[in-house]
Amino acid sequence: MKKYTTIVILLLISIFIMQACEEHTAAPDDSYDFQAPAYFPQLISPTNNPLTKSGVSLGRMLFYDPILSSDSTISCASCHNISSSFAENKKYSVGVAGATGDVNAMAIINLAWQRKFFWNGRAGSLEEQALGPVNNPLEMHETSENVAAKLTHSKIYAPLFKKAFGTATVTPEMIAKAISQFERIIVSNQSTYDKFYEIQERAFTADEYAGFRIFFTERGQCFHCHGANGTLLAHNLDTIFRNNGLLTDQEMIGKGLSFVTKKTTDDGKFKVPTLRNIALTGPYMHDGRFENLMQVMDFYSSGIKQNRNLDINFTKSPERLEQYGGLGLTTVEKQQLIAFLNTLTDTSFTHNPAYQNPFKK
Amino acid sequence: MKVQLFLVFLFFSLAGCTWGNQNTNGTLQVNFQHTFQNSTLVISENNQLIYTTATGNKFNIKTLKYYISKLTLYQSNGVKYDVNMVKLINPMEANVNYQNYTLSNIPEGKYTKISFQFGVDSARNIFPFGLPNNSENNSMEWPYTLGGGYHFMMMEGVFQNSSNDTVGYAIHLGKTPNQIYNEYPLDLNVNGNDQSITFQANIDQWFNGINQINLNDGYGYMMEDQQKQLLFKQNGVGVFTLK
Ligand code: HEC
Ligand code: HEC
Repeated sequence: MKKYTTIVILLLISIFIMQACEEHTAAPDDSYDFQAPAYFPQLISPTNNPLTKSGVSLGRMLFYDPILSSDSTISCASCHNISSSFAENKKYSVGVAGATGDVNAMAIINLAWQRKFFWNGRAGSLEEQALGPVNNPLEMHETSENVAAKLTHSKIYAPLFKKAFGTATVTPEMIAKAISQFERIIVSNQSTYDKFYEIQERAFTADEYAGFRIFFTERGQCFHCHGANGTLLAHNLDTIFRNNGLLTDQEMIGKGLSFVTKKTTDDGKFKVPTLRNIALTGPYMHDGRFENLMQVMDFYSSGIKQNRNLDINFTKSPERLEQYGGLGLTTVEKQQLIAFLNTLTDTSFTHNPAYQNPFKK
Repeated sequence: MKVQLFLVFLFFSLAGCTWGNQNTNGTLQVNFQHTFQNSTLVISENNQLIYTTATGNKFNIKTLKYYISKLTLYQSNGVKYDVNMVKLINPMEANVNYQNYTLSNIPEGKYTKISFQFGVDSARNIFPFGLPNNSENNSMEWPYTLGGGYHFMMMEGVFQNSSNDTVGYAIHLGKTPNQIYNEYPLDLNVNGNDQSITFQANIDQWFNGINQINLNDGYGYMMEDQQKQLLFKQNGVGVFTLK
């Protein structure tokens, strides 16, 4: 009997607490219904930043709003363009006052499943990543504190922050959380390749299937780095940074993962990028050195630099490296690989109204 | 006040299930320790060749992970304790939880034999997602194009080849016929207690069993080469010993 009384009392207390908190937390029906296909890996989302409708919609506005830059000229979307799958068709991006960086802008696709961000992995979460561009003098050249103040004084944003986070006094942390929520819902899963899960090889033309086979066998080795059949998401922590032989021993010193770990054994290891929508995201590689996919195929075929950290998936065939400088692909094999890569294009993604500029009427 | 009430609540709910019910089931933590020629295995990051195989290949190990499945305990009267488990053993991780598996709720009794299988069990070694679709298992996927399922083992590193160059090798085993069944006599009394046993994985044995492996014979492209995989399946029988 006593047990039940206790339960009732406890329930009453929790209802009371919930009531008291109502003001500070988003309403229950505000939770965002995030759906991904069953063949996607299990999602591990941060408990301190759950998806809410108001958070996602606020994040989308911030993503497209140049208010985040010092002179109100640059938004995230200036360099992450939806029609390029949120990458940019420029070798190097141009920031505030014409400043240019020295790396190629990355696509924003299926990042909810990833744990390290930027080519060298220097951000450990999307929340941590989001304010990087704001504070980067070569990008938005702002300070996050300043943006927070601008947003607090904005008649449009203050109430939206209040709705999403319970207070209208905007902090950099809240900005980062909202943007990350928007980024997490950006998912590509409607490409031709996705049909493979339903109908297997019937999803492909003969050429596409031939390319698929090269990709997913030791002829191409691609799958060993570019992810499991599952989703072609660049996957887990221990395989995510690889050295694919773009740089020489000299060139790679301090570049890539070693920038973060300071280990020479990590020199020249870069984040394995997703290949989803790859046909839309050129130029390619961290430094945008290749203009098209044929140049990328030529590189894997005969342009690999034999640096000291070159991945085992290439050094394990010294004969081919010696003879061809790479995998020694034939012209037909290169075309087949490209045909397969093209099956990863998802136009419903680039036309998804939920990802588009909310300020455009 | 809230805290006190909560404690009262906890006490009652817990008391309900423990009183008058002496638990005689036990747990067994099964550890995997990795050695090379009897010293603790060192996983390399750089290209220093710290080991030598029986055939004289100077080499190192940069990647090692493998699945075990079907850990089973047997009593002499034929009673079996089988939880149908599978576990990725990953000696590259510092956290020992990647190198052990705990059997829990083992019924009281005297167990005289233990067995396990190297590799993923047949029912789960399928495409797609015989195992939970998480990043750990995804990184072990054996592509559909090669028959599907999972890599049973990835062992990779570099060695000095016959032209004195330091080059890579990649021993990748997979496919259901390449599972390796292991069994060992055991003397385990279960009566409500927590115990542990340790298997020593003698990694040098992969190269030095019935078959003497010479890395110069081409161990880079073996996923489609059943002959090469068979050599390791046969050597694998001597890899695990019960300490
Ligand atoms: C001036 C161009 C520019 C602007 C503005 C910009 N980015 Fe980027 N973004 C880049 C570049 C270049 C990279 C790669 C940087 C690197 O790796 O060092 C990148 C990388 C990223 C990544 C990492 C993706 C991955 O797979 O690891 C994310 C996420 C991202 N940007 C989001 C944003 C957000 C959110 C904003 C707005 C707050 C923004 N970017 C503004 C150019 C830009
Ligand atoms: C050893 C691991 C590895 C293998 C094997 C590999 N890649 Fe890559 N790939 C990478 C890494 C790492 C990058 C990014 C490198 C950089 O920018 O510095 C990359 C980049 C790419 C890019 C450009 C992506 C972008 O957004 O710019 C394409 C396309 C690509 N790879 C296709 C392939 C194909 C096709 C194969 C098989 C023929 C393959 N890769 C094999 C690791 C690998």
